[in-house]
Amino acid sequence: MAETTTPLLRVESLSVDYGPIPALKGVSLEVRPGEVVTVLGANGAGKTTLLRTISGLLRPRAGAVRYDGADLTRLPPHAIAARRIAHVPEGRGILGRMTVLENLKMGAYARRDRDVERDLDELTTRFPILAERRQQPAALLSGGQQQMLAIARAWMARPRLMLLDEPSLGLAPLMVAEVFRMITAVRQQAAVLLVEQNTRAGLRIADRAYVMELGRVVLQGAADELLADEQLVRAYLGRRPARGGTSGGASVEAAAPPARAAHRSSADASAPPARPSGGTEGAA
Amino acid sequence: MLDPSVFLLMGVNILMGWSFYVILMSGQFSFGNAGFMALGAYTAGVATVKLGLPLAVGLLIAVVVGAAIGWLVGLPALRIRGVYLALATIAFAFLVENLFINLDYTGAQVGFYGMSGTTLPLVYALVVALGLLLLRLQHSRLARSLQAVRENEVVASTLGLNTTYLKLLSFSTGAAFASLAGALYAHYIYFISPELFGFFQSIWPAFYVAIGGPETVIGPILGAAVVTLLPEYFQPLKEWRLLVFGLTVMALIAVRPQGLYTRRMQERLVQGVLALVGRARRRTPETLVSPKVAEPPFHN
Amino acid sequence: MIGQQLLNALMLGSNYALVAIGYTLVFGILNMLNFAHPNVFALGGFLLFAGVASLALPFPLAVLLVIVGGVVLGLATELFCFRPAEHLHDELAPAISSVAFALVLTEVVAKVWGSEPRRLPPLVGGASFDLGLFQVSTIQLVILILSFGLMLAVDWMLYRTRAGYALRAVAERRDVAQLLGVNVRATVVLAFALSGVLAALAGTLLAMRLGLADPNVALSYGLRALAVMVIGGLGNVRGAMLAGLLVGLVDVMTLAFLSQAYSGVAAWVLLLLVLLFKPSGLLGTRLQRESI
Repeated sequence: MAETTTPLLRVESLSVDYGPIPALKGVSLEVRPGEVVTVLGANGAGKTTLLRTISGLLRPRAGAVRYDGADLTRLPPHAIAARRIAHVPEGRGILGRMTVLENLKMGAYARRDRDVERDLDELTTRFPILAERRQQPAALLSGGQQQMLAIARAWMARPRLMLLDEPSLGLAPLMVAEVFRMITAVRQQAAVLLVEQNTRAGLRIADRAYVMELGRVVLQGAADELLADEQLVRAYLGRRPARGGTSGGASVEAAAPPARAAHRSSADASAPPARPSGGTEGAA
Repeated sequence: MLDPSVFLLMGVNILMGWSFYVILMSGQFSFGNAGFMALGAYTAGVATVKLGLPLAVGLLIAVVVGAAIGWLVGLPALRIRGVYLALATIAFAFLVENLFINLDYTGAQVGFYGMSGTTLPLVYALVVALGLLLLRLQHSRLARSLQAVRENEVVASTLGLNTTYLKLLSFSTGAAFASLAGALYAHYIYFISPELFGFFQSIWPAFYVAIGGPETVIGPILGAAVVTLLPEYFQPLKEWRLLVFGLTVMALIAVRPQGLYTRRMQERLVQGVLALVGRARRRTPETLVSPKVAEPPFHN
Repeated sequence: MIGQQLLNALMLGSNYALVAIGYTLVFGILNMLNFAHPNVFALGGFLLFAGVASLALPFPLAVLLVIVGGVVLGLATELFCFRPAEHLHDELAPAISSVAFALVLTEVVAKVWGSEPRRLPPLVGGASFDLGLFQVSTIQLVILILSFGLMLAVDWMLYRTRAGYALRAVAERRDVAQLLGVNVRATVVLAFALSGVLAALAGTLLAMRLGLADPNVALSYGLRALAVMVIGGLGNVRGAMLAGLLVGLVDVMTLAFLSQAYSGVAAWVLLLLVLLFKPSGLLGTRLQRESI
């Protein structure tokens, strides 16, 4: 049954420049509550710029970012974080000198409620690796563990929207699977806007996806359709979907379907069919 | 009317400002240029007073000695940065001061006298000549290389730049400027002693550059002018002079933290002048890397 | 005798530590040196003098005056020297502005109180406690309690309060801190206010120990505290505490066993040693960001 859910996040014709160089040229997309949306693209496509503009680290030249109807475009990053948008930046952004536990507590910085301790317990129970290393400086963790810490830290904010920038970057396939398992768990609490170069993993976990190239959205649609039409995707990304996704594919697939099935129908009905577009493309 | 000696001192200060600026061009902070100033002063003084050589020779010797010692000091400085380098250069200035306090040959603490010969025309002839040289170099490949080192030394070396040589060159040239300034200064005031070249003397050049603008060659000139002339205008304030001076400097930096004269101003001026002269051809701002790389990789 | 020296070491060391912590808070967050810091330190002594001598306030109120003064000076430094240049990535201009501010503060002290030290009236009872090995006067006790209390308070704040977490997060990764909801501007302001209070109180404590407010302490103690910060590790508050106590100890020992001429040299010798063998500082780690 198709529900017309208003988008949680709506990016409208966003244009962002780095000095004289345009990085985003009129990008539009949306994320609905409970969705996982993946943004794919090669290096330099503007994916990271997109996330950084949404979370307030960058100011756009034109366009708007709307969240729950409110205009976030000119707000400072801490105000956006206070609205429970959690951004896990490229490279994880771990506070290496602080301990694992302190990093998690920092995740709850913007929160004013009393359930922080409870959430901490829940997280550490669920992800024992964090419990084991709770008193260690976070810099001592491996790349994959840091990624999990970063996501857990974002989770501590009890976000309604989580922005993840290339969570699989630099990780071994097994670790990628772990991380994506975690993201699957996250999606029960928050909508996720995921940026990935690992096309397969990114598409498997998503409901819908956008493909960006050179600062524009060139392709969008239901994730499983894009996944099926790999040739189309490859044409835009200019290369094969990453191997890492392939070998870890089985476990990612196993984790993904139940959630996806539930959203399948609404995704089909309201998402525009996959088609190439040369110009700016707004969500239907 | 202002005492002409003020302008002479301003010329010396301009040279000191450039000594800081030239070193800053490679991204290094030197707060020890008073040490080179002292070296130049005493060396030239020994040359003219003790050895009876003409002033020009004394100045030349001072410059050479300054550059040489600058190179030597620049060597260990290669490996340290930021706060550490600042502290190390301060320590260097203290060491030099201590050296001259204990050096009887040049009068130790009592001082050394007999130097003369610096005139206003001489100072400004040198200032103009060196200024033109620096201006000429401003848009050269050397300047761009230095800027690359300043912005990111590691990246610069991967781009194939010899960062060691560039940093040393910058350091020793700065030292040479300070040496020259010291020699000229000594031969103006006739009598020098180690305390003239104390720690604070090292800080002033940084003032000139910060106030005038660290981005161009002209900046330090403006900064030196402001810092040298302002206290003269504040004379009527007597004991409030220093206080007002400090507040003025704070205000100048607060209002224009980028400096009184910036690269953008320079570009606009150059464009304006060229337009006036009738050549309508626009000069595009020199960029650090060649234009090809700066262009966006995509062509929409 | 040894007990007396230890007492001196603790008082001197904790003093260095407090000033060094102030430097380090600002440096950790902005990667810049605040050269007006030692002058706030000197002013602390004079504010105490103003409180107890000129205004005849009771000691606690005078301390309150010092605290207020420290906050105001810290905030002024941030607002006038550092904030105007925050959008530039220039480290020179704000540092020079703070030097100019230091000049202004020096002149203010000279105008208001003269350039000679001013004697403080007796502050607390002159009683002495005999602890067997040595004697402690009331004022020494007060100084020690306040000094160590302050250090403990700072540590508690950094590791147990939200504001402290914010300070540490911003010092490490400003952008990440923003994403976590930290208001960086407010945190910077806090760092300066805190730094000012610590400097002013340290100045007061020194004045209490010396029995006078001295304008010359800015340069002598102030520079040494800078060395202490580097010894402890740039941006490392616990390092500053440790380094301060160490330098205090060595200072007092050199004074006791060598001659007067070597007092104050300890800081520089230790600095040299640290730079040679462990440049990141006593408690600094490789993880620490090096300044540019």
